Amino acid sequence: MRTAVELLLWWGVLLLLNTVLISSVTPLEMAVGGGIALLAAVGAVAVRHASGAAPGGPTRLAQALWTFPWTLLADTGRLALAVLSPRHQRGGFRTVRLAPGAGPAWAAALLSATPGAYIVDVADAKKGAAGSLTVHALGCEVSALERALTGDAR
Amino acid sequence: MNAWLLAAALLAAGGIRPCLLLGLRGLLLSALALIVLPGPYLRLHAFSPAAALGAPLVALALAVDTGPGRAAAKLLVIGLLLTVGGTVTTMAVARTTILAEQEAKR
Repeated sequence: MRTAVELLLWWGVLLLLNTVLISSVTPLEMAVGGGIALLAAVGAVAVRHASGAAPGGPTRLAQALWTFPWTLLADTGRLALAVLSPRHQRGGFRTVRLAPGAGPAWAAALLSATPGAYIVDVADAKKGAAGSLTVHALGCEVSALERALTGDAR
Repeated sequence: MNAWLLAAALLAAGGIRPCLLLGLRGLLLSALALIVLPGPYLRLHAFSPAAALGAPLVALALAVDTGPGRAAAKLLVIGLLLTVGGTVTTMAVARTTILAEQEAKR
C-alpha cells in the first residue's frame, strides 16, 4: 500500500513537471508523458528502496521552516562580511546533534541551503537516538535554524 | 514579523523590482565570494546565496512579471529546481572534496 502511494506521488510529480515544461499540451503529449512518468516513477521507487533513503521524522520541521528565511538573510550578511573583510574569513567543521525525531535528510537540505553552513556527513539515528550532522560552518555563531533543529531554545 | 510574511509584503508593496534587485545582489555576492574566499571549504559557502536566494527571487520576479499562466509556473519550477539542485550540489562537492583529501593523505 505504502509503495503504491509512493509510486502514485512520484508519477503525479513527474507528470506535473512534464506538463509544465513542455511547450504545447496535447492529448498525445499527455499520453506519452504519462507513460514515461510511470516508467520513471517505478525507477525512482526502486532506487529509493535500494538506497534505503528516507526523509525522517517531522519533529522540529515547523520551527525550522519558520526560522529558515531569517537564517538565510542573516547568513547572507555574514558571507558578505567575510567577502569584505579577511578577518571574518573563518570556518570549520563541527557536529550538530539533531533533536530526537528530526529527519536528518530534510535538516541537512535546509542547513545546506543557507550560506552559513553545509553538510558533509550524516549519521542516522539508531534505536531512538538522535541523528547528527557534520557541518562546515562559516564563523562560530550558531544560527537560529541550527538552534531550531537541535531543540536548543537559546 | 516572520521573513516569509516580510517577503510577501515586499512583493505586494513593491512589485517585482525589490525581488529582482535582492536576487541580483544574491547572485553578485556569490560570484564575489567565489573569487575572494580562500580554500575549497570556504568557497563552497558561496553557492547558497545564488541557489537559495538569487535564482528563486529572479525566477519569482520573472513569474510575477509574466502574469498568471503556465509560463509563470514554468519559471517557478525552474527556480525551485535551481534551489534544490544547488543545495544538493554543494553537499555533493563538499563530500567529494573531503573524500579526495582523505584519499590523498593515505
